[in-house]
Amino acid sequence: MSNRTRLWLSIGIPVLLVIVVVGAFLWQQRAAGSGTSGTHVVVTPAPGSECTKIPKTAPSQLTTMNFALDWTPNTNHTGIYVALAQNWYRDEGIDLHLLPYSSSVSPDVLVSSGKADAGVSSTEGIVADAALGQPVVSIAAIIQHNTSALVTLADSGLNRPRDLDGKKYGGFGAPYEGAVVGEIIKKDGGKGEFTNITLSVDAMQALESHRIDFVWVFEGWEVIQAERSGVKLNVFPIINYGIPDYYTPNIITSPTEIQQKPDLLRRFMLATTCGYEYARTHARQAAQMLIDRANADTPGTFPDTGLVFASQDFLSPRYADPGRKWGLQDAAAWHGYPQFILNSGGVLDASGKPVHSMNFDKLWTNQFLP
Amino acid sequence: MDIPKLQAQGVTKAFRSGKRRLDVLDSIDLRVGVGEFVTVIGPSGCGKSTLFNIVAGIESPDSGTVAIDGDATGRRTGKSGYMPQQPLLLPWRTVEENVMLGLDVRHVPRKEAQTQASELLKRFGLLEFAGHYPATLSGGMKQRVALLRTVLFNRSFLLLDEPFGALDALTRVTCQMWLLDVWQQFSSSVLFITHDVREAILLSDRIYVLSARPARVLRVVEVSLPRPRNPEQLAQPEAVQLEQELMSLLLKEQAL
Amino acid sequence: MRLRAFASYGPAIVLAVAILLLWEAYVRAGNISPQVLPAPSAILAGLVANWAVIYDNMLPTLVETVLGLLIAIVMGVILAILLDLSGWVRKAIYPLLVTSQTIPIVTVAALLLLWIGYDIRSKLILVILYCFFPIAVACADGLASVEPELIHLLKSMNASRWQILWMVRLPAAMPAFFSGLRIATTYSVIGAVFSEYVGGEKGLGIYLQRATNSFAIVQVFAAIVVISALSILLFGLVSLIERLALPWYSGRRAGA
Repeated sequence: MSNRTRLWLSIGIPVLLVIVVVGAFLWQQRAAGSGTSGTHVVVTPAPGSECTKIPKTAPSQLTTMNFALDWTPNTNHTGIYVALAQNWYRDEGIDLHLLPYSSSVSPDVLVSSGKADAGVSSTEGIVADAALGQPVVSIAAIIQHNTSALVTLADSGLNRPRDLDGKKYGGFGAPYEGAVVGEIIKKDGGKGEFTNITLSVDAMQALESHRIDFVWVFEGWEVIQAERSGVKLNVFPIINYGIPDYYTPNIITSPTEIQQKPDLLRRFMLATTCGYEYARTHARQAAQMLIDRANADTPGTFPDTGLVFASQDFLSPRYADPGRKWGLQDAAAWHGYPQFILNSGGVLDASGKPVHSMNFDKLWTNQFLP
Repeated sequence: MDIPKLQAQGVTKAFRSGKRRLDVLDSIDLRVGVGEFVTVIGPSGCGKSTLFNIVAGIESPDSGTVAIDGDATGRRTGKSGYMPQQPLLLPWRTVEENVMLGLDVRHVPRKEAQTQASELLKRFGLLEFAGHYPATLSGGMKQRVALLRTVLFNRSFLLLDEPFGALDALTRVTCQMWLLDVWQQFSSSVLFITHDVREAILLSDRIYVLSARPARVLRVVEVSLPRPRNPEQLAQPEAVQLEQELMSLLLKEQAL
Repeated sequence: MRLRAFASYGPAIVLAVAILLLWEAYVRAGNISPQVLPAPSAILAGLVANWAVIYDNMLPTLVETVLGLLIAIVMGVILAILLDLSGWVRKAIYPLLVTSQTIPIVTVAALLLLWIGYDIRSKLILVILYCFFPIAVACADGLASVEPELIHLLKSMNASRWQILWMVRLPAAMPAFFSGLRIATTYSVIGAVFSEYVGGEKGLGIYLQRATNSFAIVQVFAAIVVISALSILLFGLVSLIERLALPWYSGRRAGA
């Protein structure tokens, strides 16, 4: 084989490979675009509710709106996925783009920088953003009462928070975390001393490996999963142990957005509220819509649909208090916990100095809820 | 008088690195007539290779002139077939492709270059190795291929820098005779470097003896042995005497 | 010859099988929770059951990998040539190149997300960022290590700078280039997976993330198996191409 042939082959084979791969990819894109996912259930919003205000047909002109997710799709996001599946955003004239979760950029940054019109965050996140001078505003509480809990393995013998003194905690590295966990232990009569290890692995895995004694998880997800897989846990909901109740997750937007596009936000929240209101009373169907829609965007999003259904069954009644509308926020939740974490000295401003007070009422509003 | 192939006059060269200065060549005068076989011998490290690089156009003299075919001012690169000590065959080219190297540089069309190369290989008995890679060749073979490459590029003026130095005695003799054959067939002008006195006597018409660094021309000797040459002639009295003379001259220079 | 090639992989295969058997036995004996480390048989079953979805997510990652690698190769070689061009260009650019490899991926990812967005471009940029460096450095070293004598030879033939680069220096740098390419290839698939953490809809990295967050440990391992398999295949392809492109070199290496 001559050198020329060799040269051509050496260049040709990789180029051919690239063409084949890109071709397969483009072909798959086209195939995915034309396919439909699952059976489409059309839901009639309950009569008498604001949801009847949603037009039956979409206007010809749609406004694009970017919404940033805080995590891979899960049952906290169900209402949004329901509204998407039912085309309620479309009917309100919104072409909603769900920005996928990015482990390197939080929705808070995307919202403050204008890359996203709205997103999902938490009370802690919102307080931290305000301290850093990049404020965002919470316009709805997705779950009415806090569902965080500290958990230990049932066979660890650590049956109440005060048993956690001197034990190993696997956390996510937030600066006020230590203060919150310490407070829980103290409220139960302990000293509040423990080893704080920041994990980069999954909290439940760390717990099950017996290297960590207790972790902070959410009752609607990790605890449900543990039940399903037969792992027995001791669960200590944090609000039972002296932590002021607070909202997480929240729907956030930026002050600029509020100023410039209030009508868009109102229409968005109408569709979203209807989605969550539906999910409150139709857990199974709502979960199915979440699964179908998320799988359509990324195949294989929910490898374990049983977990989704179980989690949804837990969460649906907790989206709002009975007899109350979804999404409403009360001032008390915005003064108690936020002040608590400020007092811990764990919330820093842009130059690294702890912030001790702020105007909490600037951080939330109910004005866009229908 | 005809124009000599090569006329070097007063060639001087020094290398500078920082504050240090190394004088290598000191006013060298050298002439190679058309069709002549001239050898340069001298002690190791005396600057023979530097002289070659200057003639080949890779380096410039600090002072003095070098004229090839009477032209002292144009560029010298490409006007001689330069063969350094190592055969320097490109490992990714076959023997035939290596022989073609000079023609490729000259942008000669591939087919044409290939024909010329294989003709040359055939003429000198190396055609069966045309498709081999250099890695499979012996030292002597590589030198011969390198020589053919040099000749194909420029058969009229060859600069050969100790081409047979690394070969064993028997292979060396074979290659020497082979070189003489090539020289005769193409009527080339040859400037040859060696420090083997016997080799110089066997091959050349004239021998320049250089001193140790900085090199000057110590002696120019005519070799009047009849052509065609063969190794037995080295046993003849004139040859032996010449050999002894040159050896003692060199040994004196070497000691310095 | 083919049989011999397979035979040379024998020990590796035996070792791999042994490890898999030990692993299977370890998990079955209950030494570790299958939630943390599933058995190979479970992983295989999961791979087969979820193949359609995994394939769907594999394609975007493959595109990022091969396209990114191809662009990194072109960039790397061009950069190597630039670095080789002048000492001062090298001094100016080299430190920047090294620094580019020390920036934490999180920072770059955040910037890319804000400037470019979620489409394939931000991932391609990251893959290119991490793959071009070993190629550029290896190729630059290869270019720099060409024997000066060879350059002299080409200069004596009056070859232009570009001719020298194309005919001698680049081919001479190929073994070094391939060594850099092998390193870049080994890292390319995993680099593409990490780049997807910038955020995206489809890809093995995204799939991995979602499976992790859903506690689907079998799927996590299945994805990892696919990632490893792709890396090995790519690496094998590069080795094959190297053998094709440098038969004289790899033959020598393998034989030695």
